[in-house]
Amino acid sequence: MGKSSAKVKAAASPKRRRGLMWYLPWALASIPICVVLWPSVFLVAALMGPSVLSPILFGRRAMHLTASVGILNFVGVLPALGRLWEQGHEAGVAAHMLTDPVVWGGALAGAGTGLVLFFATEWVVAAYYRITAEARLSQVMARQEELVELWGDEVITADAARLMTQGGQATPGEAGDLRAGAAT
Amino acid sequence: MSIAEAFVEDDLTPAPDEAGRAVLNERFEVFSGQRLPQFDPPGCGAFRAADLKGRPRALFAVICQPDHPPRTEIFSVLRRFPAVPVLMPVDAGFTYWPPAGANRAVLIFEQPAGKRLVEASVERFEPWREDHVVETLLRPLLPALRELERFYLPHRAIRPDNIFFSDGAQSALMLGECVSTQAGYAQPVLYEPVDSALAMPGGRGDRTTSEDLYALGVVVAVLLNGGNPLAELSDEDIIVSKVTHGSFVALARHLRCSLPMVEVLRGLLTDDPEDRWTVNDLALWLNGRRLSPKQPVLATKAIRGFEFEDRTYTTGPSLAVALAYHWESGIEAVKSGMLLRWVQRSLNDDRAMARLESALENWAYGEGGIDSEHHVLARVIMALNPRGPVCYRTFRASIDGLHKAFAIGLKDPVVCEDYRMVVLGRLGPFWYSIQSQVRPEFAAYRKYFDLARRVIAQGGEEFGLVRAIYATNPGWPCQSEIFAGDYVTSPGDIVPALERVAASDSRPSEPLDEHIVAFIAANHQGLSDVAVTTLTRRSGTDRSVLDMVELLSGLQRAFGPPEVPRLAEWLSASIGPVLETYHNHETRRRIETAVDGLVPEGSLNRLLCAIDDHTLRQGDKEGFARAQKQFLRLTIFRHWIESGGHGDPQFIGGVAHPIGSAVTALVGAIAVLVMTVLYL
Repeated sequence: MGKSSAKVKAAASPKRRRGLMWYLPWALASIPICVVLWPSVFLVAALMGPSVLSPILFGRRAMHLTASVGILNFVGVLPALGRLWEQGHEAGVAAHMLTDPVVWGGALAGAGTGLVLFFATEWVVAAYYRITAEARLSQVMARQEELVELWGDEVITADAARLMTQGGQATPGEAGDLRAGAAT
Repeated sequence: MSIAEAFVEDDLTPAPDEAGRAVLNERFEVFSGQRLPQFDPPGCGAFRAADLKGRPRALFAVICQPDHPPRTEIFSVLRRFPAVPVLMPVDAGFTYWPPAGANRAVLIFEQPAGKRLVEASVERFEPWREDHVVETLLRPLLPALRELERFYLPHRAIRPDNIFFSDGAQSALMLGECVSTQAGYAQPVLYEPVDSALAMPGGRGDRTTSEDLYALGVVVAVLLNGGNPLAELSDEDIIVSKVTHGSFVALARHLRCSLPMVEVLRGLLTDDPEDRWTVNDLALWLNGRRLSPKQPVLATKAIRGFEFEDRTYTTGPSLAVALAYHWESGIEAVKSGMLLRWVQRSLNDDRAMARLESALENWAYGEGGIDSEHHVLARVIMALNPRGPVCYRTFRASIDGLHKAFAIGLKDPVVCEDYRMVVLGRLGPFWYSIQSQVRPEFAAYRKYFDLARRVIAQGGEEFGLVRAIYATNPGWPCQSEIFAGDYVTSPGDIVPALERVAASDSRPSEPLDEHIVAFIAANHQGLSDVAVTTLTRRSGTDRSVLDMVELLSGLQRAFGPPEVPRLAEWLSASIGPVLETYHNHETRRRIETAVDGLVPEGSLNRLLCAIDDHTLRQGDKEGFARAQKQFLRLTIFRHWIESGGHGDPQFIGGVAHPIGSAVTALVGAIAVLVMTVLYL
C-alpha cells in the first residue's frame, strides 16, 4: 500500500513531467534544420505517415509499437532519401518522388515489417510463458517447500495462508507484490 | 505417631558388615550392623563407630532422621566448647548410609562411661535423697549450664533419660546430646515451661538457658519424687495444672523436702522467665547463699468457673489451653458469646478483658478473605493466655518456633494449611500487640513473620509455602524429593548432588523442582532474583528451561565442580522448548550438535551460551522475517500463475513490447548496414 502510493507520488512529481519549456529549445533548434533541409524534411514527413498514424490507431500507450513501426518505416525511407540527395536535394524532386509507388512501397513495407515483428514478438512471448508456466509453478512450489522445511510452518503468515486457501484474484493491495513476484 | 516411630525403619535395618560400613569425613567408620540401642536418642538410631586415625576410644554414631535435620547451626559453637559435662559431638557431617541407600546426617559421640540416669521406660524408682541430688546432679551440671548460657546456646533436651552418669561409680552426671533433633523437639510436655508446653514438639522454639533451668527443676522434682509426679495426667491436664496452680505447686506439692530444696525448686520452676532463677542464682544457692524466690504471680481466678467440655475452668490461661485442645467446641463457645460474658462478669481481669476486646475487634464471623471464625478463636486463646503459643486449629507453636514447626511438619497438609492461615491471618503481630513487655528478640521474630507473609502472599498456595520454609529457616536442608537420597544443606551442595542424581536410574525429567529453587532463592543472594522468577514460571516453557540452566550454571560458577557431564546430559534432554524458540531448523540442528559436543565437557555455562546465543537468536529472528516475506511473495506469484496471470494481455504486453521494439531496432540496424554496404 505504501509502496504504491510512493509510486503515485513519484509519477506526479515535477521532475517526471516534461512541460512546454522542455520542448521549446528543441523546437527552436529544429527550425533552421527544417529551413536548410526542407526537401528532406518534406519527403521524410510524408513517407513517415504510417509511423504517425500508429499511435492514433493503436493508442498513445503503444509507445513500443510506434517505435517498432517508426524504426523500420525510417529504414524504408532511407533509399528514397538517398536518391533525393543524389538528384540535388530539391523540393521539386522530393515532390516528384512522392508520386513514385516504389518509394511509397519501400516506406510502407518498412512500416509493415515493423508492425509484423512487433506482434510476432508478443505472440512468441505469450507462447513462451504459456509453455514455461508449469515449470515456473513447480519452481515456486519447490522453493516454498524448502522454506517450510527450513523455517517450519510458522513461515506461512496469515496472509499467505489466506491466499493459499482462497480461490479468486489477489486483492488490489497485493497487485504491486504480484508484479514484483512475476518479475522474480 | 511418636517421635521414635517417626524414624525411617530402613535406617535401622542392619546391613552385612562390609556393605554396611559408612565412613564420615574419611576418619570415622560407622558399623550399621552393630546397633547400640542404649544410646538411641528419641527418633534416631545409635550405632558403633570407630576412629580410623585418632586414639582408640569407644564411640557411637547417631544417624539422624532424613526429614528432621539436626541442629547443624550449633555445630560450630559446640566445637569451641571447653570440657564440660555435656555429651558433645566429636564430629558431624553427612555421609552415605548403606541401610537406607541414601545420605544421612551422622553425629559421632564418645560413649558415656555410665548409663542413663533413668531409662525412658522406667516409670518409678527409688526417690533420691536431697544431698544426692545436689552433689550428683546440680553441682556437676552447673559448669555445663554456665557454658551453655555463656554461648547463648540452650540445651533444650534436659530430662532424666538424656542425662548420663559420667563414670562407672555413678558419682556424677553429665548432660546428654542436644543436636540430633531440633530444640525441645524430644522433650515431654512435663519438662517444658507453660509458655511452650502447649506448642507442638517442632514449634517450641530455641528459647534460652532459662528453659534448661526449668527442665532441670523438673528433673530435680522427678528424682526427689522417684518418678513423674504427674504421671497419671494427660498432656492437656499437665499444662492446665501448671497454668492453674503454677509449675512449682503442680510438680512439688506432694514432695516432702527441706526448705532449701523448696527454694531451689521454687526458683527453677517459676513460670515467668523473668523471675526464674538464673545460672548465677543456682551457683549462689549451691555455695550456700540462701535466696528467697519471688512468689509466682498466678493468673486471676474467676468468681465463677466456666463450664467447658464437662470441666470447670477458673482462670483464663487454663481455659485457653482447653480451647486449644477442643477447637470446634471452642468456636461454639466464642460464637455463643458465653465466653465473653464470663470474662466480663466473672474473671474480673481488666487487662484480659482489654485483650479479648482487641481480639474480637473488627472481626465478624464468615467475613473476610480468610477463615474468620478460626482466627477469632486463635486470637481469643492468645488474649486469655498471652504468654502461650500461637494456636490455630491443630497448629500450635511458640512465636519463635512458628516457622520451624511448619518446616518440620511440611509433609502434613494440615500443618501447611494451618501455618498459611496463621501467617496470612496476622496472628503473629497480634501476639506481639498483647504482650505486656516488648523484648528485643521480637524484632527478629517480626522480620521473619513479615518475610513469610510476603513470600506466601506472592507465591500463593502453589510455591509460597515452599519459599517460606527456606526464607524463614536459615540453614534448613533442602527437602526436595530429588534429593531423597542426599543431604543438601548449602547451595554449594546442589550441583554435586544433582550430578549424583543424574547418574541414577530414577532421575526425574527435570533436575530442579520448587524446593530446590526456593532453597537457592533463600540461600544464594546472587541468584535469588533468577530463582524467584523461575518459581513463577510454568514448567516446560523455554524461559523456565533457560532459568533452570542459568541457575545451575551460576551455582557451578560459584561453587564448582568444574565438570558435571551427567548433569549437563540431563539438562540437554530438557532443552527442547528452548530449541523451539529458534525458527530455523538448521540452526536448531546446529545447536543440538553443539550441545552434544559440550555435554562431555560438563560446563553448564558453556551449555547455557550454546542454547541462548544472543547473536544467533537475532540472526534467526531477522532471517525468519525475511523468509516470511519471501514466502508471501512466492505465494502471491503462485496464486497469480494458477489464476492465469501468464496469459494476461497486459502482462504479456509489458514483457513483449520492449522486446519487440528491440527486435525491430536490431532488424533496422542490420538493414541500414546492408544498404550502406550495397550503396558503397
